[in-house]
Amino acid sequence: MTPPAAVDMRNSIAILLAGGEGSRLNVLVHRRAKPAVPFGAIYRIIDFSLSNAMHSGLERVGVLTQYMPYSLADHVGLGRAWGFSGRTREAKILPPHTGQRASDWYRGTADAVFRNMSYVRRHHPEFVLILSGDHVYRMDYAAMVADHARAGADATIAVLEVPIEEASNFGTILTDDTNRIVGFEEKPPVPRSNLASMGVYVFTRKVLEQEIEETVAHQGLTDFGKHVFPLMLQSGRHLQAHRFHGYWQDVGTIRAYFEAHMEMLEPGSRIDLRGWQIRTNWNEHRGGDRPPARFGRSAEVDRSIVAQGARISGTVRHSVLSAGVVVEEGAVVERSILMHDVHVRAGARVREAILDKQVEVGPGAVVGGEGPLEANHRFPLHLDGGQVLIGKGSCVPADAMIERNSILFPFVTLPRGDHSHIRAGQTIGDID
Amino acid sequence: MVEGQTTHPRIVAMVLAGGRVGELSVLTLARPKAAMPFAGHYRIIDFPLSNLMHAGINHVGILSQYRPSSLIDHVRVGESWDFIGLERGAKILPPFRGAEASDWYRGNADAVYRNLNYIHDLGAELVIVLSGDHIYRMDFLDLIRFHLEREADLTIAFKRMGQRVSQRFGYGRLDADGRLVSYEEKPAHPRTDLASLTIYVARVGPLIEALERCVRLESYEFGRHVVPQMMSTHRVFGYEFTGYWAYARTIDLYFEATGDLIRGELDLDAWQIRTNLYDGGVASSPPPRIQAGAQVRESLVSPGCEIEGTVIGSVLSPGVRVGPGAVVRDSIVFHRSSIEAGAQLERVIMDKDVRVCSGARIGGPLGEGMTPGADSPTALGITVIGKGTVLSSSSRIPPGSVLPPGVAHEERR
Repeated sequence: MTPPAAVDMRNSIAILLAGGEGSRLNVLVHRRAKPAVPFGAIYRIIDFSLSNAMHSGLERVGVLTQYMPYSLADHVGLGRAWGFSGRTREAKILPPHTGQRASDWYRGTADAVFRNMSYVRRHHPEFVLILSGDHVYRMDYAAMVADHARAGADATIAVLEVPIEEASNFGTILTDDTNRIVGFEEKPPVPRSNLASMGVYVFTRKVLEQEIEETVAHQGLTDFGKHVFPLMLQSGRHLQAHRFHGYWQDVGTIRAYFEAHMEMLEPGSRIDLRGWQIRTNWNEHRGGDRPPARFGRSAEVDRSIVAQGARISGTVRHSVLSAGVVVEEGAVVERSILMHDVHVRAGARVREAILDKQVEVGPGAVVGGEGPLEANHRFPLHLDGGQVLIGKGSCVPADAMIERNSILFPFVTLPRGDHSHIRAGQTIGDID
Repeated sequence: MVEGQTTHPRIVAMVLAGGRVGELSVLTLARPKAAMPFAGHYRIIDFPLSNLMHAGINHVGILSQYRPSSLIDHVRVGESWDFIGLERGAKILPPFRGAEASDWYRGNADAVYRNLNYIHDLGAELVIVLSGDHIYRMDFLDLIRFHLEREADLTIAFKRMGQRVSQRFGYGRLDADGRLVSYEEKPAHPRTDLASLTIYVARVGPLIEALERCVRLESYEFGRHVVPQMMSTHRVFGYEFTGYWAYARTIDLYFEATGDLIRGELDLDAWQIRTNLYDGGVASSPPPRIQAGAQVRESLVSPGCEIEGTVIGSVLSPGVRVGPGAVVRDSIVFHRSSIEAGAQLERVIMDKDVRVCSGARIGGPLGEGMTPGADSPTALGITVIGKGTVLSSSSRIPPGSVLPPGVAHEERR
């Protein structure tokens, strides 16, 4: 962990952009924004940024929501779970509100901040941190603010070294040898830099006010990465890169989401929930009212995370089980992610699957691990890694078979019998 | 309902949480019984507090005098049980220096008597007095309904103890309507198995009269003095409770209640017992991790635990670590204790922050013909390890031993 920087974080506030749809997460973002997607058995993705803000000594975080805000509003509350309570500490949900213009929805990251500048001004901070709630990482924002202040920069962008062959998936940043930014490339086919932007920015507040007014209000442009920073560079503003060296992962695809969970189970994993001191809101979903995880006489559990309120009588290997999950006797769960209150009945087998909250798997059913490895027919870009994806509240009947890369939409109850064999790559149900 | 009332009568709870009984040995050196950890991340006082919360009783005074610090940390202002907000509150009521007489509570009735102003200030019509150290789930609304329907002045909750009859309880007989017709406190030879659970619902006026009369006679106990006093002058009823109830008064009873928990006789999920998640670090703990090669069966495992070895028939509080090859069998391990590689525990109750070094052997079954010494607090031969103890690799602690807190234990010959 970086030692605490000599900077008074009370002069900074954070704006956390939590409006992302994250549509590639498919049924996992049905009725929830990407930052609200559960992660690591008891957390939501936004917990990483909120915990980082807490441990960095920030006192005020404005959380901008727009897509499906309820689960986030419940989750963040007033921010008490992250220590944001008292007279001067708060985390506040800032929902979209009607502005001067007809279209009131945020059109981009810069537009979202622009429309909440009154919140920023009211607290007259010296620096403004702009964060996203989409990533799994542990970062000391105080070190970044200190870097920014030391360099006397107008804005600082956190960057991460990525393998050069992956750099074309990111917005990359060109720097000189003092880490001053000299150019940007958005998803370059032939990257000249392997420094990817993490979507974490520090602005000197006065600069932010001027630049965002110019870009959004006058020029009608909406995005930090695409518009604000390139324009600032053109006009001679001082942009600095802050290098980050730890683990950072965008879990915005099913593949990345699944692999991050599997990696978390490895000994010495770089995702260190204990060391990172990630906090979450335990009051949600009765999280705090549940007794410790309970293991029955015939339980066999290996390399897994099993949250409170779970009851295990079957076999669980290499899996992440959220609060209240039940695995009955003779059932086997392997390499899977089971969210809150999933119930796997006796003799069922779940392998390489992501089951959203309250999914029920009937006795003797087989979910995943069977059939050819062909991408999902309807969502080939969302699901091609072989996992089965089952939406919240869906029900797999007794003795059903769900093959690889299939998707069951939320609240689907498959009928028993012939229709309960779902072949590889099929998608059942529809978003309402 | 009380006459003329269309809403609930105002009711205040007084929770007696002061007691330290020597029979829990080193486990209660620094905490009252009510603050004893139980079932992993709970403390025993969570049971009465959750019962009160579920009944909507929102004014709770907690009478505490023995080492109240851990209780204060745990209860705080009662926000975990929703006792905060307008018209609500939980408050620790410590003893205070009175204008005269001694300052410590002289008995449970005296404790209530000295805090009558708390009851007065809230304008309560009913008071429910209960113990902070019992493990149960009771619908207090049903108890209060019974009390009001009988137009009782005092109602006492009773339970048939069957085989568990002991001289520790008060025993009563009820008539067909539930009126208490006889009562004996801690008789040498109980004549019934209907034992008082020391849960009392009383009308405030008659209770105050009885308390004042008892205190004048230098009588300070509910069971011994207040109940007989009120039986002679007021309407006293018994409410029969049939659910699970345990009083973890001794090491053996505590161990047995934990056995009940593991066997599923208490369903904490259905009971919806709440605790303060900020006490003991629950809210900042990651979910428990079971590593490759671990075995976990017939056990409860709390947040923050990390298991690489074998855990059978045991309950682990938050942050316990069990190293590779270590075996924890039929044991109860409190917060943050660490059982290092290859160490073995059997029939042990281990307090917080104990370090068991690699290879140590702690406890075990009572062998054939072995009996614990006369001064042992346990007839079952449970081994009890005090808080913060370090047990070296060569430690061999025989069954029934009691180690005081904070001792670096090298070898026992």
